[in-house]
Amino acid sequence: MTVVPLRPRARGAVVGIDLGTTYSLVSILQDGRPLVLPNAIGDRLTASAVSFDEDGSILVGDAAKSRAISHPERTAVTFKRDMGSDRKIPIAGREMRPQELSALVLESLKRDAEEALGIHVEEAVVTVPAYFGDLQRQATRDAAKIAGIKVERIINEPTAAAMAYGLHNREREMRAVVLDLGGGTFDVTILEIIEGVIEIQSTAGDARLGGEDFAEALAEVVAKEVQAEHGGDPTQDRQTLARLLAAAEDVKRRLTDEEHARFVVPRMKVGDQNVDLDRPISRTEAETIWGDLIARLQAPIQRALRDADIQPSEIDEVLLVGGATRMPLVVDLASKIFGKMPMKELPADEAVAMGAAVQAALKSGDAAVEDLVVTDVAPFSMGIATATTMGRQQVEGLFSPVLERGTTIPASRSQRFFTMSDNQREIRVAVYQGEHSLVKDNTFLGEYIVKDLPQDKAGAVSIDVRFTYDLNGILEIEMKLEGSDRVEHLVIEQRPGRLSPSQIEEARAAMAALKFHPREALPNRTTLAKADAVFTQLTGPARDELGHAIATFRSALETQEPDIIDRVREQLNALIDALKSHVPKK
Amino acid sequence: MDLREAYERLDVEAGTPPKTARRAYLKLLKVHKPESDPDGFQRIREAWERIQEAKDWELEQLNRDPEPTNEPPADPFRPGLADKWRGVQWTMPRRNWGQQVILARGEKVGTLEHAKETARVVSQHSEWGGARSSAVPGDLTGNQGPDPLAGFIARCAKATDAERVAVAREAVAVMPERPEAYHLLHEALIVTSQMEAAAETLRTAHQAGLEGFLEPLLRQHPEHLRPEELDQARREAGHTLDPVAVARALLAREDPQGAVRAMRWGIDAALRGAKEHVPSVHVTLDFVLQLYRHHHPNAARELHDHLRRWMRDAGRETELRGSQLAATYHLTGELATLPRSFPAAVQAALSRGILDGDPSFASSELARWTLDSTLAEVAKAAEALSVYAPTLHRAVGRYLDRKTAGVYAPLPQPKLKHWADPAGAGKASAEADAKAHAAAGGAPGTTPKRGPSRPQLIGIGVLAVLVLIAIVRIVGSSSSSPRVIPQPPPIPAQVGPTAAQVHASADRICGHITPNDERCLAARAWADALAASNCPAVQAAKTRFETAMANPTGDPGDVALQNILINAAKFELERGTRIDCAAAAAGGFNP
Repeated sequence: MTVVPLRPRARGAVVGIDLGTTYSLVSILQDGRPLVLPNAIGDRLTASAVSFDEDGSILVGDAAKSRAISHPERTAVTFKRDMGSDRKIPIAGREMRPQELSALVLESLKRDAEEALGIHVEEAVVTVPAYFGDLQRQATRDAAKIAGIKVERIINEPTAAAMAYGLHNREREMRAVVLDLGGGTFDVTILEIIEGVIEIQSTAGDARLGGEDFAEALAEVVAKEVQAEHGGDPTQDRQTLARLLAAAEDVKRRLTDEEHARFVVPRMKVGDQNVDLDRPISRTEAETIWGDLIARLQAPIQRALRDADIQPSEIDEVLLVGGATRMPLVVDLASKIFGKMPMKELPADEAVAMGAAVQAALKSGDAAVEDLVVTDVAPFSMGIATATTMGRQQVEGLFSPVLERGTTIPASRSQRFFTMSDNQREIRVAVYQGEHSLVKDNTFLGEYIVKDLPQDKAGAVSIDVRFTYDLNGILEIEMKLEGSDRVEHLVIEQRPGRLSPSQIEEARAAMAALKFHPREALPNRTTLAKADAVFTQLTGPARDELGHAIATFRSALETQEPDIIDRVREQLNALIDALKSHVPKK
Repeated sequence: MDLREAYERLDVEAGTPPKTARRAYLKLLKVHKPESDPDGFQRIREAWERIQEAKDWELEQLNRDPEPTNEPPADPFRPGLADKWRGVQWTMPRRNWGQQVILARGEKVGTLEHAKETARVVSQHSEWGGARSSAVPGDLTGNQGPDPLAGFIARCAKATDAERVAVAREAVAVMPERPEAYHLLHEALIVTSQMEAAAETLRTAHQAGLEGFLEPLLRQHPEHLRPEELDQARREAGHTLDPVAVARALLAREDPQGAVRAMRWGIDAALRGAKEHVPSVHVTLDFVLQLYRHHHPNAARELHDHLRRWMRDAGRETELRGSQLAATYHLTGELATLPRSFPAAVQAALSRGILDGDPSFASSELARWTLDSTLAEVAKAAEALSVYAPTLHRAVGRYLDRKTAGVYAPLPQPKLKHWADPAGAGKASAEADAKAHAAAGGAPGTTPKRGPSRPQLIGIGVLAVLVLIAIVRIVGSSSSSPRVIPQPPPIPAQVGPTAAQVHASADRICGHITPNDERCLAARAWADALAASNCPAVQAAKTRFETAMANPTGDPGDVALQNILINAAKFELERGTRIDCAAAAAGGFNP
């Protein structure tokens, strides 16, 4: 007789989070379809920006992004690029680690999801670029720990996009390539959909190539010109630099749709002068400036094809994912290499988050995806440090891979290693991750010293080292001494990366002390921040009018009447949008 | 890994080319998913990778090599037997219903020894344990003649799914005394998803007197059982047929009536004094709520009736007091008393809240429902809740209020005696206070600053009644109500811009263009008319302005930018028109 207790309080939801360099999203599978959840101001994309407001409260999203222009010393953006490093970012008079800033973004997304769903969110699946190394993945886990969100699974962004695409396209058998060019990273993944299974076959990429780099390239060229003409360096002043980058981003986007654009940055601080910049630029010129970057896009594509052992012509579909793939040059490059037009079935910005939701559903055993099977591959090679003799010389510090990149996971691989000298008592098993041939160029993961080896000639004593890597990124190493029953274990699991557990606790406590800006006030706060940012960019009658509209809005806020406030805010938003998209006539 | 073992793991014939073997790997992948069965997945993945790496010469050798690892002892009287074994293919039906029926297909092998060996090999390959020896081909008495069943099995092996059913039916027709034939047909029907026919097959076999068909029938096809079969199952010793499982299966097949029948059968058994295989109160309540959850309120009500009668007749009502179960029982009871016309979606949402033990879980669904429903429907539901299910209403009333309170409209001031009592109702009175203030526009009789249209007034009337009921209920409950409805501060009548402000607006418009631009002139006229409260003139001026905006003359300049700025600058003019000259505002567009 089965006794079923009354349903306990439902466990919290498991959501999928795309933690991007420039934008982040949170999503969940509902009724078999991925649904991207809106944030406090109703947008599905939340800018990956953190800013401290004047009263010390935290702003995450568009408000913070706008404040990067008006208050750059109190704001941090694109900190995903520093994940995995030791760098601390100065913000509002303090220094924060990229993990802590990412934790704030995660916390904000979690609140948005809880508000939209009406239940607690306890667990998330977070995506990382496929090319993220172990340190960067651990840093992402750190961020989740600091935010108090359980993250057991981290998946690769292109795999997520493949899952979002494959969820409803499994009847067709095909090979596809996913080109994911986000704000900061470029990933290439080749997959095959066959017998209803999504099989990832290879991945490659460049962890420091993204849409931001294209904007920066333009800004650099223009800054150099200004320097040559006026003597001072505009990038020295933080606010000017921020405005220059924002203008570059704007130009980059405009050039997607038009042949010409203008770099307009009034009142730049150059040395001790004020310079008004109004420099036209054409798409052809921009593509010349971007020549190097375009070349850098090619390399990972070729490598992925090589790893999967297929020709570009064997690819049936090209999927473009990530906002920067809107650029015509990316579309052109993809068409040229693969001989077909890329397909745009999924919204480029949201595909990864949608895939993360599918993975979250898979992980929690959601019935809607119970017949979906996905296999992924190890994103990097893992091995140990070995030495060898060449003639009389002993060469140390070589990297011997045990589990190669591109192995379908979960996987277990074994290699045998031998002693180097006679009567050697110990073998040091030092585990590394990476692709370089010398361990000093790879990332150290951990080590274990196998002691008390039987005394014998060099090469007569051996150990079998078995690496087992699972879907959660946990690497288990088993060392078996040949000829005996001894087996040693080492687990390289979710280590804190560069942060020790106590440091994480400290960061958690510090974060708990930070207050988020009140949610209900966010739409108004965001509009004000946007208005301020645009205000700094303008001159003349446009600036006056905007100033008047801002003043009207502030007085509307005083009345505390939601009806009036909403109306005036819409008015102000309309004006901001109109001014932003307006191309000034020369 | 040995190549042969790799092929065995994938259940394909040794030597199959990698392309075909891959399909077998992919099919198995659906059973051993990396997410849920990492060990199983690794096994088949290793096998597939081994096959992938197999060199041509290795494959050739495999095909030539007459020594499979599981080769039975060669029968000296039947040379070439080993070759026959290689032709054996194992297969499993696609649906795993808890027990796998593994059929061996291939050439018949004659002796008893070989039949036993088949069984041994089958059990070795079966990963679910318990291969069915009744599926061993061949006659166990050592008959050396050809077995027609083997022929049918061979034909099935070659046939497509659809044809297989026909072949199997033929087999049954030809050999109605052979259980294997029925197994063959059963498997074929399952594979083509003809569940009812599959159940019928087992039933026919059982009725024909063959052994061992009742149990699979009961276990694999609970939803196709007839009542007498259920009873027989209960009577026969050793059967663990669970009415709850049957009911769940029926519910999953969208047969709520059947599910209720099954549960009722269990409850009746309990009333008759059975101790085994009866549902508990917990489970029955859970089931009632699940019925609500799946939008079957009538069936839920029926089952709840049975449950209540059971509790009463068995004298167990006292048991329920004072436990968490009691709360759920009470809430379910409230759900059951709601009228038949009550929206099933709301009942589903509420049952979710009860199931999860937290009403807030009902709120998101309720919110969604309110978005899709009219104001009247929501008000009606709220009213019904408050009358029939006060506890539920107290828990979720906020979400219904939120929807209906989103309409700001002047309401007549309600007269509540608790108003004057500051100490008495505490927070509740402050709520009522604020709500009433919110409701008050101007006193009826003065010109309303914002005129509600007729349908709005009707809705407002409903809202007023609803609000009153809600307020009375709140105030009537204990004074320390934990529920705090944040109310907006009272809205005074909207005040339009002053004359100075509208003139300033016109000035700003003119500041963006030249003074003799038609747009500037029209704007000034508009401002003058507004300042003089001359609404017909306002309308005329506004039309003139809009025409001018559509056809700008005068200094070209950057027309696009001008338009942006002028549109912003005319805000005060628009606002004044909207508030003070509603008719003119209705004619034009609103910012």
